Amino acid sequence: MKFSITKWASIFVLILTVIVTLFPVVWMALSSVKSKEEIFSIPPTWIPKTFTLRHYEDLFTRFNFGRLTINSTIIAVGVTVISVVIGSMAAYGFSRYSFRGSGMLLAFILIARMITPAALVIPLFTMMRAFGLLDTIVSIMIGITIINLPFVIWIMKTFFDGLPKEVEEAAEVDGMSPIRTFWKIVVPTAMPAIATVVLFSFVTAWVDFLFGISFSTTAASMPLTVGISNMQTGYEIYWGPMMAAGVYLTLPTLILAFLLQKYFIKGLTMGY
Amino acid sequence: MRVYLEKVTKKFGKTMAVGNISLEIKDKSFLALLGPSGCGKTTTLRLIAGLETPDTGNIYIGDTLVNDVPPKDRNIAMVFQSYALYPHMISYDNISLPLKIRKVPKEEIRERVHSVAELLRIEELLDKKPTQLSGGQKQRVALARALVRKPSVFLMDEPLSNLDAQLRVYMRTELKKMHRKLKITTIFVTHDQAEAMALAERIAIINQGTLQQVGSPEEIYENPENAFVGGFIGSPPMNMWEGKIAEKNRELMIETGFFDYTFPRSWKESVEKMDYNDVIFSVRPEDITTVKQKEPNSIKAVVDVIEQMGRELVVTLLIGNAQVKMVAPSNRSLHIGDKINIKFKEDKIHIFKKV
Repeated sequence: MKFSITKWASIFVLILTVIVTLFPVVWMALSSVKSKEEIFSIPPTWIPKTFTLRHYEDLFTRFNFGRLTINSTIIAVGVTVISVVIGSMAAYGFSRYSFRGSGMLLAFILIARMITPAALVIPLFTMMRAFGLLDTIVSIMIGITIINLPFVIWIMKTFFDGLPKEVEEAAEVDGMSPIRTFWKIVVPTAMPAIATVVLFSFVTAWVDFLFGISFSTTAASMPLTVGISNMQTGYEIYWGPMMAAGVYLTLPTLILAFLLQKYFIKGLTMGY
Repeated sequence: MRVYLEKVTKKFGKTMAVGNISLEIKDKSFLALLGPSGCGKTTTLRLIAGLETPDTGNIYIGDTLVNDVPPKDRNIAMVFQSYALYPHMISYDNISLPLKIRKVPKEEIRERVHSVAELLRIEELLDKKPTQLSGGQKQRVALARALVRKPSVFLMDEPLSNLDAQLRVYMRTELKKMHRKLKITTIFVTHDQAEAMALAERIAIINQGTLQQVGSPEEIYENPENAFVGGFIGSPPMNMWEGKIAEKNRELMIETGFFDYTFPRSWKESVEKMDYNDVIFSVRPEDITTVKQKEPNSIKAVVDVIEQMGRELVVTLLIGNAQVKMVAPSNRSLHIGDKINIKFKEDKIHIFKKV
């Protein structure tokens, strides 16, 4: 009896949590297909009476989302690839080869993560200006990578520390070079951790607003997040398109999470 | 191929893992490196594999000095305690990898993998991943991966210690058969003296980084060179007492504090040669016999514990406060509390220098 009470209580709490966290998301999704008038109708409607995809159309016709999507994708994929490749290799180095000062170096990398990004923006801005990189996708990628890379290194290092060294030694005896061992043996084994950092890196870059708004001035480098903020002008707030943009921005991260799900489960059941 | 270690030393920080070990492993032979955990036996193996480099000394494989030769060029194969299979690859890929790296033609790879799989009876496991295999199966795949290369030296780091008792004894026999068939020089690390005795042609006993004795299982069992070797080999372990050599009534004897033992005539010469008086007097449990009546050199003892081992009894006796283990045939009728007279087989007692 006691068990079922605690069980039902926990289910109740979970349901409540889901409602609270998902309410704004559901509201956003529903509003994105309502007409402009219905969004503000009183009393509010749950199920849209006037189903429309106008706002989604507007994203591309009025707000240049085609271009911004390309920008955001390049930024997010770029940051992810750079962070994961460099980060996991660096982490492997830290995990397997200790050298004079490696502990200190690792601590410095962690400190880089502790600095609030807002404090980095100004010096980075002047540097980007000096290099003539302002309003380029590269500048935004660099900014986000600086924030993201330490996280990737620490997550991956912790994971590599837990991997048995013997497997790599077996590869060494079998005749593999260290680089080949890393790519052919270590990386496939580390897929659960890599899936985690891929998702984290992608989301960090995809939802970044700070570096986007600071470094980009035109559509040439503007990411989607900045595009959404531009829907709020001094004259009007485009609520419908904003809701649609919210849904549009959420979809890729959701899809990525689903795609990587099997690796997360594998990571939980791997049994190291 | 012959493996030769010449005055090899390896330190980790301040710990001496391997201290000045010289050891020859003859071509096609099977040697066990035996010792308690942390004694440096695994480090010795890793030095031969090239996974560690010696601080001083030389390592030869065949006639080649391999100090600076990387593991892949030593033509050795190693089986690790944890098997160390590549977790994301099926058995076939695990076994074939060393050949792929050496750019062996595909056709030949398939042939060799299948023939080694047949030898180890793992053909039906070739398309399975390590997570789908049991401990014993993983063990065989790891062996197959090592064998497929036809290495000139086979290194095994406690390969049986993760298996359950029954499988361990079974795999022991399999390994022995395999060695007889393939005749590859094999160096086998273990902390299990029974395993070493059963498998190896020669045993090298290591303690605290130094080599204690090298010899055939019989030699090591019959003539241990020091108290450590004597105590480490054999089950139940050797009985040992500290004592002093003394001369009384023109006879050489040993005083242990629990009993005095007069040396038989046959020992006289060798005892007189000893340049030390503080010794460890020892005798194996199976070299103790009971006698009906008190006679010279017999000792009174009381039966304290009797363990029935099936074929034999392990009897714990008390001589005063000192415990003595004795092995007796299981048809002997002994009872707890019995007062008996025991005698040591004269040619089976051991005197070690006390360190």
